[in-house]
Amino acid sequence: MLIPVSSRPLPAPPTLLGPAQSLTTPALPLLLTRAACGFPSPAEDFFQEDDRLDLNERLISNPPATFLMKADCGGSMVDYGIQDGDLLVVDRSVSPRPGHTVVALWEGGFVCKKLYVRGNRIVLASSAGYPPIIVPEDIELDIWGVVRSNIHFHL
Amino acid sequence: MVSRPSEIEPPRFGLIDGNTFYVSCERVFDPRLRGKPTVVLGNGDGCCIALSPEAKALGLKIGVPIFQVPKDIRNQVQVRSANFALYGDLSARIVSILHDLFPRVEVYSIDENFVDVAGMKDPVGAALEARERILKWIGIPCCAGLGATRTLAKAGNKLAKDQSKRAVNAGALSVFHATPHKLDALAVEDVWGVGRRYAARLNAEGVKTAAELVALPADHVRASYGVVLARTHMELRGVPCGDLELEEPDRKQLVVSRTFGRDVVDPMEALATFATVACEKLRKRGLAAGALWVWLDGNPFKGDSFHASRAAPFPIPTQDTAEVLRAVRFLAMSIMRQTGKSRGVQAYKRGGVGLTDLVGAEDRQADLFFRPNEKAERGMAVLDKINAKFGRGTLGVGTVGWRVGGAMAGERRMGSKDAQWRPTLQALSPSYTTKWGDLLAVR
Repeated sequence: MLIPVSSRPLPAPPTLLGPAQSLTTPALPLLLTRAACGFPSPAEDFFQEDDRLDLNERLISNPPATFLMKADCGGSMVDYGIQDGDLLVVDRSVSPRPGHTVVALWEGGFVCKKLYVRGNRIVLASSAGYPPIIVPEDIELDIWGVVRSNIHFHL
Repeated sequence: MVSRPSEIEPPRFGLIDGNTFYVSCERVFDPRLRGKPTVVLGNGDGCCIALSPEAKALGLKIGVPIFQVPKDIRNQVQVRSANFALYGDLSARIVSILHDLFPRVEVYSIDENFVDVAGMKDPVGAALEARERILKWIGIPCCAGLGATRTLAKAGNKLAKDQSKRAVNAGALSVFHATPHKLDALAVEDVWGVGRRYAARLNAEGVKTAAELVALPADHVRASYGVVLARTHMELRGVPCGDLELEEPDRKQLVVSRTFGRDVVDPMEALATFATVACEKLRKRGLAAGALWVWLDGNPFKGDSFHASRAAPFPIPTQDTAEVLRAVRFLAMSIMRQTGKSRGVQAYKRGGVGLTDLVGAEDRQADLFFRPNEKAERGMAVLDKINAKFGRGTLGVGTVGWRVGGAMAGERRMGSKDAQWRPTLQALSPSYTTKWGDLLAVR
């Protein structure tokens, strides 16, 4: 994943107070060399302190525009890989396109749905067996953000 | 002869701020509030500290205690308790966006940021871009003012607000480049640095708008209003008298005060807690307090305008919470003894603790008889470290019972006697962005 880099050097970003930051620690070490008894590890020469994998880098491409939410879809998004209790990483800076999984405002609440366009109608689709929402033509649909990834906890 | 105000100067500063910021923050996560009259209450749910335009249209005013609003109007209004964890998070995101677009940013307040636009090819475009990003990425509508000085940028911001208020989709109307020649629409009391008293005197002189203030001769302003207004006058004419303040200047005093949830007779626990919070902030900034100030108020809305305050110096500036708490106890007892003698039982509605005469902890003068209590201060450093790691209030001194931020909605709060003074936040929105347990659930 590319991290946006602007041409001019940026000042140090201000600290984010949100959960985006709490994901930062601990970063995973790329290579964890054990104390070698006798033969020195050939990896040592290639391993530097800042060679760490940061989950933020993979999950969050634009920190100020990223918000975390909790999936509580009643099973309606299982076909799209989202189960209840999953953590949704929602990016508001992504412009929604057909095929995106989105968080939209519907009937006064937030819903997570798959966004499609069929004919001239916007469709918010769910798993098989759940009726899709076909947005009436005279209604302006408010899409709050685009789901970039979801995190499922196995333990 | 006074020189004419400068011709069209390229803007050097921008001021970008969120429209009715607290209300806008609540609306990002609660769409039911959109378009409805909404107020945010501060001071432990006492007074309105932010109003949506719809709430203003109902005649509500900033600073008015909510219980004074007639019931029929109150019933039409959506009410929220101030959720500073949420506002602080969204504010930090805005600052982060501005850092990407401008070389220098001065965080002026939670919802106002000055930016450096000097030498930019298209400062209006950059301001519009900033507004677009903040609106799309975070959901907060903003306005921007541009000008050759910070005062002009601030004036431009006010004019942009007025302009965009009249448009449904504000767009380009939300940015205003203020020059000394485009200030007719700005009332003189809305100029940054012109207080209410100056405004009254200027009005008496026939000066009603910022443009008329600009037209006054500089020597007249200096002679009749002093050097402070003379600086504002210069800045309005496009002559900068100050640059961005990128570092927070050293504090002169640290004050922590709150309105209690109920009237309390024994405010000692509350005052001890305020003092503890103030001492934490003090040490965080590497400062030491030379004097202490304690005050207690009655409940003015029950016709009790009681106010008493006491101050005392420390022998040598201190960072030690225990020493401050001993002094707080002494001063508070002194206030309570006085009131007890003359008026019977006194109930308090509000109280505060101020640490004043602050000096850098490293700059304290040695004294022949007193020296800083190094052992106690080392202990405080350990205490701060533990509290930073495990959360505020993990470790503290006996008399303290504060839950920072007040009692949460739904929490048992009136049950115990000692919790009476805590502010009750009846309508606090969840900390959507700062607590794992408070994340928004999506159906």
